[in-house]
Amino acid sequence: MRTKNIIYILSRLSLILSGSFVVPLLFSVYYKDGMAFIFLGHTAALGVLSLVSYIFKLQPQELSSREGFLIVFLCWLFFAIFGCGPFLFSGYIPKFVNAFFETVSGFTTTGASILNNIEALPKSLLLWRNMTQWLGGMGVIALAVAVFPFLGVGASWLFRAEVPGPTKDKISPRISNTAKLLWWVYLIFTVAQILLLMFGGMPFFDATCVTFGTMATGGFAPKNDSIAGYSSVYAEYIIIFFMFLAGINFNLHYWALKGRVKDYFYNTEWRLFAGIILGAVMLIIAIRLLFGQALSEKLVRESLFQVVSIITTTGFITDDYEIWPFSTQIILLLLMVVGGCASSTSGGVKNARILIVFKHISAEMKKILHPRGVFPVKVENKTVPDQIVSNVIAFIALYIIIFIFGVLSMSLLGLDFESAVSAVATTLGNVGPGIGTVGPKENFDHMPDLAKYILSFLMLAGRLEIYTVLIVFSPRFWK
Amino acid sequence: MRIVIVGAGEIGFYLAKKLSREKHDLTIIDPDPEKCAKALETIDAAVIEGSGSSQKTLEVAELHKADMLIAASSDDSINILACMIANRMKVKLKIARIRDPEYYSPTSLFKPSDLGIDLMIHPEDEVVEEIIRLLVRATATEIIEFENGKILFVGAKLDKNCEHLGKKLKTIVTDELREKFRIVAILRGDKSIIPTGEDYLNKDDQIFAVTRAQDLADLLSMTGKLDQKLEKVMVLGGGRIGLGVAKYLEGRNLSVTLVESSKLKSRRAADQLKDTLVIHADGAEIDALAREGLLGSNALVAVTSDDETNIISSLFAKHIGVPKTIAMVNRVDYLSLMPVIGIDSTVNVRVVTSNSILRLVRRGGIISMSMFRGIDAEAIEYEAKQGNRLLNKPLKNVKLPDDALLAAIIRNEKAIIPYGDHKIEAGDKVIFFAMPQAIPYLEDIFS
Repeated sequence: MRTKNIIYILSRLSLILSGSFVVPLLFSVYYKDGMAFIFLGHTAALGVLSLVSYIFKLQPQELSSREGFLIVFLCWLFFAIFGCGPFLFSGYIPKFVNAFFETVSGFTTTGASILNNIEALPKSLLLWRNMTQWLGGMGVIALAVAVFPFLGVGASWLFRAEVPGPTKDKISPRISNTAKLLWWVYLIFTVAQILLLMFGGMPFFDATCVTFGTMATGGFAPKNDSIAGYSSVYAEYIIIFFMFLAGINFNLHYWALKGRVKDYFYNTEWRLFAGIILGAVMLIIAIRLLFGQALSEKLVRESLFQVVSIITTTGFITDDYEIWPFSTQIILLLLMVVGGCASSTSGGVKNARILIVFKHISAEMKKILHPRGVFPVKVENKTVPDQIVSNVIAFIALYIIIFIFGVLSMSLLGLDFESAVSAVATTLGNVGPGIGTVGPKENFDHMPDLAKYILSFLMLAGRLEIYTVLIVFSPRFWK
Repeated sequence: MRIVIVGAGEIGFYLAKKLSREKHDLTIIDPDPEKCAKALETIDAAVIEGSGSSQKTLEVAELHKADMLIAASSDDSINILACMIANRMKVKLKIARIRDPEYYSPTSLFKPSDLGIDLMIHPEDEVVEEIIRLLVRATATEIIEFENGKILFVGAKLDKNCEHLGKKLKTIVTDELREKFRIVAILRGDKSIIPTGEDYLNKDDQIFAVTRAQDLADLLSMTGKLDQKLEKVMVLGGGRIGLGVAKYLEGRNLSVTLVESSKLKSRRAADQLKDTLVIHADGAEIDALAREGLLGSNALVAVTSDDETNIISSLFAKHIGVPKTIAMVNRVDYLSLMPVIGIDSTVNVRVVTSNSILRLVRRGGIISMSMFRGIDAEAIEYEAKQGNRLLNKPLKNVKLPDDALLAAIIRNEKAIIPYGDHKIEAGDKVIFFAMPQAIPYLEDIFS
């Protein structure tokens, strides 16, 4: 482990973070909300930190995979700690544990909050809160790799550790270029959504915040009532559409922007994702009708919005689903675990893994009937290498184990069953709201401090696909 | 003709043997000393140990003086390079065996001429096509196509259901039927007969007939066999041929089981195939075959690289009542034995290959030719040019050797099964059925 490498990269990342603070700084100057000095201070402090690599003339060396994992984990921790500064120093979130939870929830695009009155925050701080999500959505490492093509081969270790999904396709032969292209796609969609929301009458500030929350599948909104606070049918449909886009593999978006729109329909994972959404929406509508609610456009829209919001792990709310029949809440809980597609900005287990695991199960069943048969796991008629299959199975097993330990620790800390299960599902899947005491109308403020740290850890583990985080904590890693 | 053959493997060796018998000057090149020694022992040819893609070796082989290069090694890239070198040395005819369909598909980046190749042969592919023909027409033991399938030579075995057993041919083939097909040979035991109207049909005879494509059903119904419905097929061997057959069959939504003994190959087969059930087992493990559903199969295609496995498994399948078996038998010495021990259909990579090459080597305007497996005979297609002495005479007045007969005429793209009153006209394509001893006579007439 070469400390020089790690310091070098962290110092470069401070430059990105320093630059990011300029955006809320400009907003705060414009809205004169008194936050300007705090953001200016952050920009300056991180700017100074970024000089470290110049002062000590550090030269980066080729990264090993081991260093890559550690660096990615430290980077995220670094962002979470420095990112919570404005909340702390402005006094709007005075307790460190709360500010840390809120920031981790932001960068990991979870969207779980401890704020009881969101609208009380100054606008620039709200923007920063949503910007953490936007940065974390496509990935801070991906951004670093895109902006500083400084790491050569080593960059691919960093990139792999951060991009979600069992397989990592490169859309360009060079990793820095791949990261750049993905960020461009992200930027194009972001601008498109802001413009479309403003077209429907939403103010620029709100449109920007909501878009940051949507494209990152984050779920922070600048209103106490989340998206329901805007009471705009148009905005809701726009948001549904962009949440859906954000849950899809961004490589597919890239090819679609290049003219290969049909690729969506050939993609098995996309089809599974769209199929699950369709199935869940119809099931929820049917259950709600069965429980005597009247069929209306509103009921269909609410159900669609909530399903897309939960499966893409965004976590926006348009209706309090806790007053829906209980079975629909269980469906939503399951969708939290499923998540979106690989290489999207969403969390959860990912459809690609679910696909592979089900194909593997079907292959195993065939194997029982034909003991000498050869049944490779195939997706789109291509064989998935055994190594990836076993990696996926281990991932899902790990997900379940962490889930169980999470629920256990939550219950030890005094949460009831529903709340414990949903709090773990929602943080590990980077969703946001759960059910019970962490439902769509509640928040995480009432939790004990230890629970907040554990949940923050789960959010990080969920965002970095568990392996990256766990491996840093394994004894073997440090040998 | 001076011919250089690259590769003394299965196909190169067989070709060399066949060509040396037809009195050509051969040079054989192969890097494997054992294969070279074997070639030297059994073939009247010069043998050079070395690489077929080496310019030096090819110079030593005096390729520049040769009339023809046959690159028949199992490696595509060696064959292509050899042809490119031969092209530079101005060799007239360059033939390459190409196994990877990439190079002969219409989407290939290269035309054969870009690579200096005049003819690409892909024996495995042709064998696959032949197996498929035999599967689709399960009652036939052999089907050979001419003129894109307009004319078919068909072999079929007569069993006790045939209603014409014991009748004379002239009573079976009525005036109406004789325009549709003609029985050109009868194989009885190991004796082959070119029949006249006075010959009888017996049980267990294998008949060979020529027919127009549209009349195939009439011919097969005469043999008394009904076409089996094809639903479930077992394929032994996951090599290029087995894979090709399985791919085609699964594309037709049949239930296919492919058995391959090598772990690596069975995995690769499973990777490439969609719905086929791939089993990792030895084709000789009769138990495993039975357990994996051989019993309920309509057909067994045994195309492993091992002749004996193919033969034994086919016999076993026949024994437990699988209606159709096709075995790949590459040892030519075995072929005459097959009908005797009860294997109806065999395919053979070497015979298919030599079909396409021999027509280029032989004298005369051969358009196409094909050898039969069940019987030692050939079907040869010539063009009847102006001045040919057979032209414009009723066939009954034309004197042909006893071992050859005119099976079909193609006139203006239409197929005719000729009898006594027909005449050959200039520009016709004519297809003869001939025993080997009659071939020099035909070559004389048409060259």
